[in-house]
Amino acid sequence: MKPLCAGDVCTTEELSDHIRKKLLRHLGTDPDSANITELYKAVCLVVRDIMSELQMKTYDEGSAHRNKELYFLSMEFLPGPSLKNNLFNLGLENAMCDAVAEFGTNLNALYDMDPDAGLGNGGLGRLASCYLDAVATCGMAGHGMSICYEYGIFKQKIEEGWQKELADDWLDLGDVWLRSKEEEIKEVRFGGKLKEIWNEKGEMKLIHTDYTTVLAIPRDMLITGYGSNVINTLRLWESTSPVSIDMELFARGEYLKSMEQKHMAEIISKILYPEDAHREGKTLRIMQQYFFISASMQTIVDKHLSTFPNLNNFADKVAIHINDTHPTLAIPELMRIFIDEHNYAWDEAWEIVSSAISYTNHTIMPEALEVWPEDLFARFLPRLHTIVWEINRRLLQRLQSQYPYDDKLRNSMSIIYEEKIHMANLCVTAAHKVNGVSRLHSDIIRKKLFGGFAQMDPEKFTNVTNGIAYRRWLCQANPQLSEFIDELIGPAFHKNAEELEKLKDYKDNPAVLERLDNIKLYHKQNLTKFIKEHNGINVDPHSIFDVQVKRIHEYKRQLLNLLHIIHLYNGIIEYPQKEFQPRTFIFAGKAAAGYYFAKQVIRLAFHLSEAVNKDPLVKDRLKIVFLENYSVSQSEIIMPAAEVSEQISLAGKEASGTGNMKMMINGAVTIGTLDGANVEISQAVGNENIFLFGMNAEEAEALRNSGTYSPWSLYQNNADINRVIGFISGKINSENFSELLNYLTTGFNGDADPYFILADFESYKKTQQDISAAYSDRISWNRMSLQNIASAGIFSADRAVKEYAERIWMIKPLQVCL
Amino acid sequence: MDDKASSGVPMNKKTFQCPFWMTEGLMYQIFPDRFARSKDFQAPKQNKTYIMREDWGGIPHYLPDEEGKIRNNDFFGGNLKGIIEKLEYLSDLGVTVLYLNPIFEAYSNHRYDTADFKKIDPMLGTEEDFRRLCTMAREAGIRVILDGVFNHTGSDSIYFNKYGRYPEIGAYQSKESSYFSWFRFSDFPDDYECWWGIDTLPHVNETDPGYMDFILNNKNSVVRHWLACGASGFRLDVVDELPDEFLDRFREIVKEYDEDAVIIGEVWEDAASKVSYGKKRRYLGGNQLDSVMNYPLQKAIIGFLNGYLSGETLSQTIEGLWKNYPETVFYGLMNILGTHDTARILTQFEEAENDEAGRDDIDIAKQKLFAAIIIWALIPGIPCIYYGDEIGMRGGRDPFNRMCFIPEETDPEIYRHYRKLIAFRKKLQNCEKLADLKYRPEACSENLFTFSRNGKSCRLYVAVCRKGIELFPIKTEPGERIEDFFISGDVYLEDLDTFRLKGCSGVAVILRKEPF
Repeated sequence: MKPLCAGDVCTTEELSDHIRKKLLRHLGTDPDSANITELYKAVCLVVRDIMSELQMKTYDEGSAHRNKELYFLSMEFLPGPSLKNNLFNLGLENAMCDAVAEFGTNLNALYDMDPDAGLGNGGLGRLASCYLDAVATCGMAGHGMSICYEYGIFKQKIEEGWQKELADDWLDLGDVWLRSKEEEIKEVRFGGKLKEIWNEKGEMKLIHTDYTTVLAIPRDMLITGYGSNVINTLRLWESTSPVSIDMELFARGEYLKSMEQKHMAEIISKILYPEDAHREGKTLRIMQQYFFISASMQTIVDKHLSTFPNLNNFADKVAIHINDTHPTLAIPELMRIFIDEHNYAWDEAWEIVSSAISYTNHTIMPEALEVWPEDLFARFLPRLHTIVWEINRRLLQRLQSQYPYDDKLRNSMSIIYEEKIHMANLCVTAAHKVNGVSRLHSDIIRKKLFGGFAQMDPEKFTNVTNGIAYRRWLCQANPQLSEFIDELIGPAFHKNAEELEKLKDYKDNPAVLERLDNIKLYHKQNLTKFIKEHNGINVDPHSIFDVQVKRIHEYKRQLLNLLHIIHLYNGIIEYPQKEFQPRTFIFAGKAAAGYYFAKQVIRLAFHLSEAVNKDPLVKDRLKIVFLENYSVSQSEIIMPAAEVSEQISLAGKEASGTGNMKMMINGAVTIGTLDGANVEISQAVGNENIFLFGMNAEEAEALRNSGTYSPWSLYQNNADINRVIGFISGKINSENFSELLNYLTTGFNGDADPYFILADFESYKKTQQDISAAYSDRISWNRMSLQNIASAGIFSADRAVKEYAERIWMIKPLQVCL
Repeated sequence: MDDKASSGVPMNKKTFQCPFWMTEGLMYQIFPDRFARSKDFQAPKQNKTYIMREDWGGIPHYLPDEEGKIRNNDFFGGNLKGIIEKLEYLSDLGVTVLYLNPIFEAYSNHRYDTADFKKIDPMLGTEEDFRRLCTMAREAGIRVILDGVFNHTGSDSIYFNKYGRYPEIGAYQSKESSYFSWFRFSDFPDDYECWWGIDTLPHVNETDPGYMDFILNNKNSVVRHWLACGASGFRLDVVDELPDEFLDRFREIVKEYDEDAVIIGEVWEDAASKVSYGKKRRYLGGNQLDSVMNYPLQKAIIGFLNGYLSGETLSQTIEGLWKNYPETVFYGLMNILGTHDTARILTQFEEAENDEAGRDDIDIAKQKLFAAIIIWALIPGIPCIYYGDEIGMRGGRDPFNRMCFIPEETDPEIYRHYRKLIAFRKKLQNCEKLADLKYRPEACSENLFTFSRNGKSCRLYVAVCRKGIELFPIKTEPGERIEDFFISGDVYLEDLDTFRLKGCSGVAVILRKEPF
């Protein structure tokens, strides 16, 4: 086949030629009168072709698993927009820019059209995508596997302060990035009955009958890495029914019923569950999990057998990673395939499966640890249920000898306990490696959450601190900064983030610090425009841009931030003439649709914003902005403009956080608790370049256990808190916030303020004062900013993925990762 | 107490003062065989038939044996050293008084059938262990009081010696026995008076001079001996059965030894109007008891939350005690929600008819418990936890209310709620002496029970709602503010001084008179 482009990299002429052909042949349009949508599709298809060609060159489908390959299973991926990222990674941005110009369009206009593939809720999904990027960048063969949700994370609208959720029909345009592979469709079986068949040798075979079949169609998204020839795939499974219509029912006039099976099958990949950090045992969700897991496991096994005669060397050639517990079913499903379809004995199968599986825990929040009712599980997955039962039986045997006198511990470690299936325990039992995502979090899971397991198998537990695809947030989102860094230390940091360390040589160079200041101002002005366009609010680009963007959740404590803003507002009202360092507080984030408290927080942010922004006494010194529909693309506008990064979760609750890293590498200074990766950020940057406050994890736990926490006493005895609580007990912008008042002061069974917002208030307030004071010394502030950029290198996803590869997956790059 | 009707109880005002320590702090009742077994426990050799249970936490034997008798002779091995090992737990919980069910040598596991008034049951340990327990407890700020069982002994005892297990000649064996006059035989030896017709518990003739001397008057009498070992007083079993003469003398002996020791009576009804054997009793007249077990309160709280007594009735019950009891007794009452003689409090709530749909019975029971303990902990008197109630132990009547204490089976929610409430009570205590916070009934209704306590520098308002929705506005006086509050269940601030209570919920509010 003739190569698409003559040289290593396509030229503008070649690109425009390909675009022209695509328009003509593929889209049936006259290239000279193509509209922007057609042009967008043509450009994307050309990029896709280039990626396909590269993939064929570097990765021979016919010889799968020659080198060990990674399969990264995750219920969520948040790739965000693809076009810019792919062009950047392929080094085609400039050539494409010129090529598109020939069609009378600006490449940026096409970027704006590129849908945000929102196949995830927040941090977990974005992390998965960052890792796929890094795996490709490091030249390893590693594929993501997930569900091709027809509707991704909802689009957020704020109406009078209330969040409204709108369906996100991303496939409308996003479809162009997906490649269907009809020849690799898999059958997934639900429900049915099990029958034992014994042969004359006394061997038993299980026969599964009367099940419902759902078809899984692969929809592959190609994944590029930076400066890498390795192209990987993110395989997204779409569900459909083998039967489009039941003719018998139709003939009887039961039209709706005749379509039922088809609808039931298609609903599986219809929508992403929009809950973050909270899982309910819903039927559809377990079907989603098994659907994508079964199809994925069959694929992996089939691929393996296309190269090797049997599965004996499966674990030498395959690493299967379980990203949080949602893909846990991979364990019993593989056992099923090994035992039922390939006649492995239990112990042999277990040895291989276990060696192939690794698991990352992402949360210690008890409400987020997945648990399924056993009866539901058994009904939908009868065979897997028997396998899980056997895994548990063997586990309990081991626990009985290990912990004979500690019933409570044994119960807490059991996979099946009180008719519930505990997915995390299943993962820990089966996986050969288990890791947390920051040092603090890994410590907590080793000592507390999985303490009993860690005592039995200390070697199993490890830590890999999260990392980000920093090129997206630095090089792509902040080219001004990236180019300036190129000037100072050269471009090596594009490939190796640790190079950023060299910036430290410039920490006392006033010209450099001033340039940093100007670049920041440029992005603040950019964000100022964005805010004006979207919220109609005029903010002062010279004020401090104080940013908290993330999912709205109690433990992340957006409410603490808001209460502090009320405190500042109270201060201005009381002393309008007093000097005040102007600040703009920027919030963005989605609340799970059913999360009432989180929606109240959005409401408060909205109405407080209305009240404060308009108050003439404030004189524009204090502004509050809530940006609706936070997404990957929006974050690319916000991160470069952030000056203060709010990472204020209650210590011990945030597993790692990655927004903290994205802002840090853009030069924001963190105000944070000693939680998640903040701990490592503070170590990397030094305590003088970060603003830490509040209780640490042990103190928070001790306070909880003491049972003596009384937020009301704080209200009574701290004058500032007293005024802030008084403020929210009244009307704000004519609205009542008594739910939040009661959240902080009463609570069911008196569990008021469960995340110790008022307990940390005083410390937070003082630390915020320190920030205002520090900001007024521009040189020293910019130096802090530089130190943050220079120290952010270790939070690169490349580093994280290399650690996974070396210590957990045991995978080597197809090509050497620089 | 100007504002209450005269109770008609003659009072010995000069001497009569319930010990201060009965008005503050927290009492904890232990059934010794089932609370804690020390690490080094070894079953002692005893020449009696008994069953050593090695299954801590197992179900106590409750079926009759081959002879059709319920012998209560299975022992789990809880002992005094075990309690010593648990002192840290108890002190951490906030306990200031330990009430031990009988600990003297006896045949049965409940030990109400005393065999030797002067000896610690060998299964429980030694006198030395007891002294050590008292000393170490006192160091942790905890007093120890004993169960005084003086109405009967065991038939298998030094004194009665029905089975000849003891070397001395017992009353059953011979009319010549020095103990013969203690007992009342209608037809010697097999027909004798006994408690509730249970032949293992022969009644004693409390006013028999020999018995009075042995228990009370002798230099090393039973009472003096155990006070000397470190006990801080007695809970008197079946006080209704004890004659005035005995009780009067009992007080003299106890108070002579230690003015600050306590005498608490087991009385199931209003002790001020109690009539036993046709005689109006004068328990609280100042010459007999300091305090009584508050069974009327227990019954009324359970009745209210289980829906068969109104809030008004609960209030009237307490008002009755308030009017009838001397003030010093009222503020030193031993307030109980469960004992070794009643089903566990959680079980009483769990087994009640619960009409609220959608919640498990245990969830409703817990909320009732949480509402109940607000009243229990904050009404005048000293709240007494029956061991294990604080960790959510369940069980019906004897022996299921006497199961083994297993800390590992703690219901964390219940434990945490108890602790928070105890801390709240302590906070109140730090504002003002609890005995100075004077009780006042407040407006109640069918579903709402309220009361207040009023002192010089602070006040307390308590409201418990069993059903529906009730508003509870707090009327602060000038200069007064809501210092703190404690919540059980669904309580909501409508504004900064009005609470809204839903069913099975309660709130206690401390008001402090102090400028902010």
